[in-house]
Order: sequence, then structure tokens, then C-alpha cells
Amino acid sequence: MVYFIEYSFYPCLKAGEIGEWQMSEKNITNKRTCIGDGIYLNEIYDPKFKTNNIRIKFITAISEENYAANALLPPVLVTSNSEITSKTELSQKFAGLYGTSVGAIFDSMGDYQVLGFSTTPICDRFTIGGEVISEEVVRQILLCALSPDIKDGKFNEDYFRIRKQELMDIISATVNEKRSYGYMKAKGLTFRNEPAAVAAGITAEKAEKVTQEDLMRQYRYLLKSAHIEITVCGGGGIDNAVEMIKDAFSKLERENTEKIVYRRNSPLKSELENINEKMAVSQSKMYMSYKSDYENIYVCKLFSVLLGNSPFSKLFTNVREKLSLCYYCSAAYLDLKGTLMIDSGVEAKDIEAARKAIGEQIAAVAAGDFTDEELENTKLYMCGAYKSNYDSEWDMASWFEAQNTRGTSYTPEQAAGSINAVTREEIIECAESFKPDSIYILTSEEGLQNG
Amino acid sequence: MDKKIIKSEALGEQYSLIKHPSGLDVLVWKMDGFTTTEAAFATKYGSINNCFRVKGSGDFTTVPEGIAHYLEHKLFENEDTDVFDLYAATGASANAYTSFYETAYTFSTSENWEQALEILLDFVQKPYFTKETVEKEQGIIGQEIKMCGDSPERQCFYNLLKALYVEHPVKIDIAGTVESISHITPELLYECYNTFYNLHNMVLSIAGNVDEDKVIEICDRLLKPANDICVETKFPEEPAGVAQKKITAVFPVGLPIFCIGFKSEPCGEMEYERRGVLSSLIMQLLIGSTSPLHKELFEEGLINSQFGFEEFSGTDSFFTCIISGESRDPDEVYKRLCGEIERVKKEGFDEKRFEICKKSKYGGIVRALNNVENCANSMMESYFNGTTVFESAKLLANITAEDCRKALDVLFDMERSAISVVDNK
Repeated sequence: MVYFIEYSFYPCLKAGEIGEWQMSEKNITNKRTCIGDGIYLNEIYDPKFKTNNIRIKFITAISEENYAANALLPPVLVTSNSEITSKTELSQKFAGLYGTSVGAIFDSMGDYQVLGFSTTPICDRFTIGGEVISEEVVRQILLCALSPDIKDGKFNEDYFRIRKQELMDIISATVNEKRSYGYMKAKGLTFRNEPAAVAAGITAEKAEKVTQEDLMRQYRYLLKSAHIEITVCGGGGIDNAVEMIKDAFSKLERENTEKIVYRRNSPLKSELENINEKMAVSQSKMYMSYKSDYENIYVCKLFSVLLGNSPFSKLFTNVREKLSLCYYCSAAYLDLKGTLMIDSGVEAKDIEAARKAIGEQIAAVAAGDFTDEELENTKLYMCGAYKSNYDSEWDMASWFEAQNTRGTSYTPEQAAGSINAVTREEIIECAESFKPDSIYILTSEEGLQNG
Repeated sequence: MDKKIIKSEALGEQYSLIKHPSGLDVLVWKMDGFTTTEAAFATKYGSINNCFRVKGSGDFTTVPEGIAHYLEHKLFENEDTDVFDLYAATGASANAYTSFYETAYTFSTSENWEQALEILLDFVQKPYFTKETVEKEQGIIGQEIKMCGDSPERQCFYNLLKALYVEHPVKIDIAGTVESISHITPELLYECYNTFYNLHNMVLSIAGNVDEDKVIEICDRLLKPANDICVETKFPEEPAGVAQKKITAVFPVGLPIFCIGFKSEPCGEMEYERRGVLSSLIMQLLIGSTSPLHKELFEEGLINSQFGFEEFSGTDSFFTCIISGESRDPDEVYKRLCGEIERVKKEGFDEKRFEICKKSKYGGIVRALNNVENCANSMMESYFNGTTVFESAKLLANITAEDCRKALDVLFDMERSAISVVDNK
């Protein structure tokens, strides 16, 4: 038996309000508490885990002006803090806490930037001799987040310089991995003039211009006004440490907090746009984007997996296996932007044929050319994948974070219920609603001539 | 049926090793509270096993480079159906991979694990290769090879192996080349299959939401008893020294990428396991984020957060410690690293930092037990290495800083090291 309370009031929890549910069968508890203006604490515990994943995330609207400073902030903050001002000593401190490392988070969700920290200490009950480490891990992270290594109004000068150079190097190195480079550029084209496209235009030169003043201004802004999500997910036994988090964040002085609207469908371009970029690559990369305002995201997700996100999908079976046109060819639905992205690795000579074959598969689904067995197998595949989130504290934390972006708090079983309820007619209707928006191709000279 | 419980009191975990009458060893780890089931049906056969024979059967056979990986692809096609279609009806996610020393067929599922296991055991025991299907696969694998050819990191890694190893087949890409795979025939695939896919050369590893009795019942029904054979792989004589000290390649990259490798003698079973623990501790002590050398290189801008290290090895076959990253001056990183190794050989490691690194390593062992897939893979890997999942925790408890210093001579011999660099120019 699964017990569940729908947060009909979410995301409007006010300070001190708590939403809570328990799944007795799985021994999992989940609690969401508003601990300040726009600050939420999510606690998800399952005693089978031997670790606790702790994430502190600041969520803020993407802007070209602040993008590079936001990217620089997490690595600067995790390098040292007001108590331990040496990176090496801070590393030693965390290594001594059973190899607890602290990672900088810099990511995006639709039109928002997500920045912060993540750490996964082992549960105190698994340390040698039952040593309590959770409180010290959290104390150090809180120092990094709220009491950084600042002197005379500036972050540690050496680390600022080194981390900035590192950021510039990372931006320059995006070209190394061709598939992710191409994906970033494709998003730039697909979401042109929208915040989600900003990352594609960031250069090392722009990062170089970030000053100490920019970084400090942005840091203060985030503490005061960013939406803050804190998640503790794992084996639990960490109550005192969680109290320290609550205490520290509830004391923040907050004003003009950002009201987040995660889902902002990207407008369809009036005409299909193409960009071909030349690079010395052996295998070309092609990204085709389609857009739709179809409301039910579970129908869209099921459609995208049926089309191209399983080893028995339309794209895998037909475009890769039968026609041998692509080494990989998969579809992903970006629910926050109402966009379907099809990502393929293709030989330069086959670009045109692959483009045609992919379009034909979408048309085939829209025409109802899929069997009930294909649909049922896809549902089974997706529902199994949803349930597998229970087996990783990282995935479980991400699952509920994604639920927060949708204003829901569905368990994997409930989301599976939504998938199972989708009808054949809805899939057809959904497929018909997706219209081509843009095509980005990264290719060699030969591909440019064929594309 | 022989059954052995492999247990760690300290970590509160255990799994079973069952010797099935068919000849297959079966590893089962029931993990309470977990939803998924992860299975790997694997053979001790990888890209380095290119020259082999069944013991006592006559001459060695030499096969084209990349054939183990090719065989892995082809096994998914049965005579009458595609294996993915069978899995589709179970909800399981199936996959396979070929490494230098093993090939594994895997599935992960939250539903119907018994049916998924039946499919796994059935299709791996049913090869079907024809001239037409073998030729067709050359296009797909050719594309995979080209895709990998676009990765500067992969190029840098394989170049390092070419620099370190003069003769050993570990220097050859797992997928082979477009040219080498053009020589693969159905007959050669059957020969490799019949040699290495013998149940005595394989293991089934299954972890998570699983019932041991049910696993054995399925094995009883589906496994075809195999003759007890012993496979011999012939490796060429590998000189102690390296092929070249430095190798470079040109690629479009942001910053130069480097891999520095230290080659040592291969070893097996418990010595292999111990060396794995030692090498990981040594690299953490030498150049991990707690070390003086890391501080120096980081603060001088010679390394960044892409910096890392790993032990790269196969039991009884090859053993290398690899340090990799991005740098404006990879040669300077190499020079400083060699200088630090020389210093530590004389002065030894700092005891306080040694204890910190030991604790950190122990935390890593605990973390690895949180993940079903990792547990299934660790059982399989340690089985092929002749050890158990919990051995490293026991070894770790008894290793001293002096052990690490002494091991430097074997694991970090400057004469047996090389650097690979990928740059824009």
C-alpha cells in the first residue's frame, strides 16, 4: 500500500509550513519545509542507504550579464572558507571525513541557472568506531556557502584568479567533446533570444571580464533574492546536521525573492532554420528540434521514448538498425521548454538521408503507425526506469527536484500511473502537434557539400 | 551444488558464490530494500585475447583486432528475433560492453527480473552468425570507430598505451580498426565464441532485488552443461622498457590534454588486489588534492579541476598507473611529478596525510556499496581477478605508509614511464 498526500498548496508553502508523506511499504519518508522566504528544505530518507547526499542550490533567472559570474561563484566558494583559507587544507579536512568531497554545481533548468554545492558523506553509523562526521561536513559546507573566504570585501585573490582562468579553460575546452559541444550550439539555435540560449554564446573573453566586484554583487544577490532549494537525501541519522542547515538559512535576510516559473515553452520559429558548422570531425553530429505546446508532459515523454529513447524505439530500430544511417539516434523531450530534441551521429554522406528518415519516423507515429505492443512495451520500459530512481540517493533527490519544477510531488509509482493512462489517440495527437523548428549540423567539408 | 557465503562483518554485507553443475559460477547478492535487479553474464574474454587455444588442442589461433567487441554486437541477433525485442516485453534495459579483458551482457530492471534473466541466459548461449549479418555490422561498428576517433581524450589515452607497450595487445583499440574488422568472418566468430563462451570461462553476477533460489532454478532450466576446458591466451614477450617516452597528436582542443603513465610488471589474484589498493593510496598521496604537489601545480595554473588519476590494469596481464588532465605545459607537470616521486622515495610519505587518505579510501569503499549496478559489477570483476568484493577493505586496514613508499619502486619507475599529449599544434 502506498500512502501519498498531494501538495495541492505547493509551491506556495510559507515559512514554517511542512508538506510530508510516507511510503510505509518502502520505508521512505519525504518532507518539504519552507524555512524562509523562498528557501525550501527537502528531506528524503530511506534507511537502506549508507550515505546522505546534501545539495544546496541557488536558482536564478539566466541573464547574459550575470552568466559568467554565476558560473565562477560555486568553484570559488568551494575552494576555501573563512575558517580554512587554504584549498589544500580544506581538501584534507574533507578527505579526513571519510573522503567526503564537495562538488560545485553549475547547471541550467529551462530558463534558469542552478548553482551551488553537493556532497555525499557516509552515514555516521558506517564510520570506524561510530565517529560522528555529518555535523562537521555540514558545518564546513555552511561556511563555504554563508561565510566564505573574504578579505576587505573581496574573495581570496589567488583563488579568484585561478578559478577564473579555469573557467576560461573549461569554456575553451567545450569543443573537445563534439557531441556535447554540438548539443550546446543546437540549444543556442533552438532557443535563440531566450535565456536558455545564453550558454551557447559564452566565450572565454566574456569570462575574463568578470571582476571581484561582479562576483561579490552576484553572491550577495543570490543570498538575498535567489530561490533556494536544499535537499538531504539518503540513509538519514543526520538530524543535528539538518538542524544546523535550518538554523543557518532561516537567518538569511531576504527580499525581492525570485518567483520561479519553470515551464516556459519556446516559441516556434516562423520558418525552419538550419545552421551547418564546419569542423574536422570523422562523424557528423545532427540535432533536429521540434516544438509543441501540448500540455500533458507525460504524453510528450511517452511519445519521445516511443520515438527514440529505448533500444526498441522507432529511431533505433529503423534509422540505426534497419537503415544503418546513424551510429546513435535518440530523442529527448525538454518539458520546461516544450521542445523535442533529436540527437544523431551520422556519416557526412548520409546526413540528408538521415534527416529524411528521422522526419518519416515522426510522421509515422503521427499517422498511428505503431503497434499496441510497441506502446505497451514503451510504457513498461519507462515505468521500470522511474522506479529505479529509488535505488540511488542521487537519483531520488533529482526525481523530487524535478517534481518541484512541475509543482507536483508525484512518486515514481504515481508518475508511472500517469504514463500507463496515456492512450494511443493521445500519442497521435501529441506527435501531430510537434512542428520542426531548427536543425544544427556539425560536420566536415564533405558534410557541408552534402548537407 | 557447492555454495560459499562471502561476507564482511564490518560492512554488514554478504553475497553467495554458487558452483552450478553446468560449469558456470553464479554470484548472487540480495540487497534488502532495493527495487532494481542488475545482472551481468560475462566471459573472461576481451580485446587483448587475440591469440589463443584451448589447452592441449594444438596450435594457437590468431584473430583480427576488434573481434571480441564485434562478437558482442553480433550476439544480440538471434536466428529468429532481435534480443532487444524480447527484452522489450519485460521492461528491462539491456546492454553489453567489451573491455580489454572481459565481455559482459547486462540488464537492469525494476520489473520481471526472472523473465529478463531467462532471456539473458538464453541468447548468450545461442550464437547465430551469417555472412550477410556479419557484413552488415561492419557499417555500424565502422561508425562507432569513427565516432571514437573524434574524441581527443580517447586518442590521448590510446596513444599513451602505444608509448608504454611495445608488443602487448593492450595498446590496440578495443573496437579494432575499420580495416581489421573487414577480415572478420562468421567462421572466426564461431571459433572465438566456442573457445571463450564456455561456461567454465564465464560468470553470472546478479544483485539487488533478487531471490537466490529462483536464480538457481532458472539456471537449472537454461544452462547447457559445458565441457571443462582451460583457455590459454598467448601474449607476446613485453620488454620492461617503454616504446617511446613521449607521443603527441594534433586535435582541435581548448587546452593541451595529457596522460602520464607508469608501467609495471603484471601480477595476479591477491597481489593484484593489494597492488590496486596500494596504487590508489599512492596516487592520492602523491598528487591527490591533499598533496603538496597538487597545491603547487594548481596554484601555478599548471593543472585544473580536470586533473585525475587511475589504476589501469588486467590481472596477470598489464598494470599501469595513469595521471591525466589538461595543462598549458604538460611536460612541466611530468617533470614535477617525477621530481616528487624521487623525493618521496627518499623521504617517505607524511604519516598524518597517509591516515587521512586511508580514511578517505575506506569512505569510498562504503559509498560503492550503495549502488546495485556497482555491486553486480564488483562481484564480477573481483571473481575474474580471483578475489572478493570485500578484500580491499581488509587489505586497506593493514597497509602502512612504509608499504606505500616501498611500492613506489615497483609502481613508479621513471624508466618505465611515458607521456602522451594532444594539442592544437
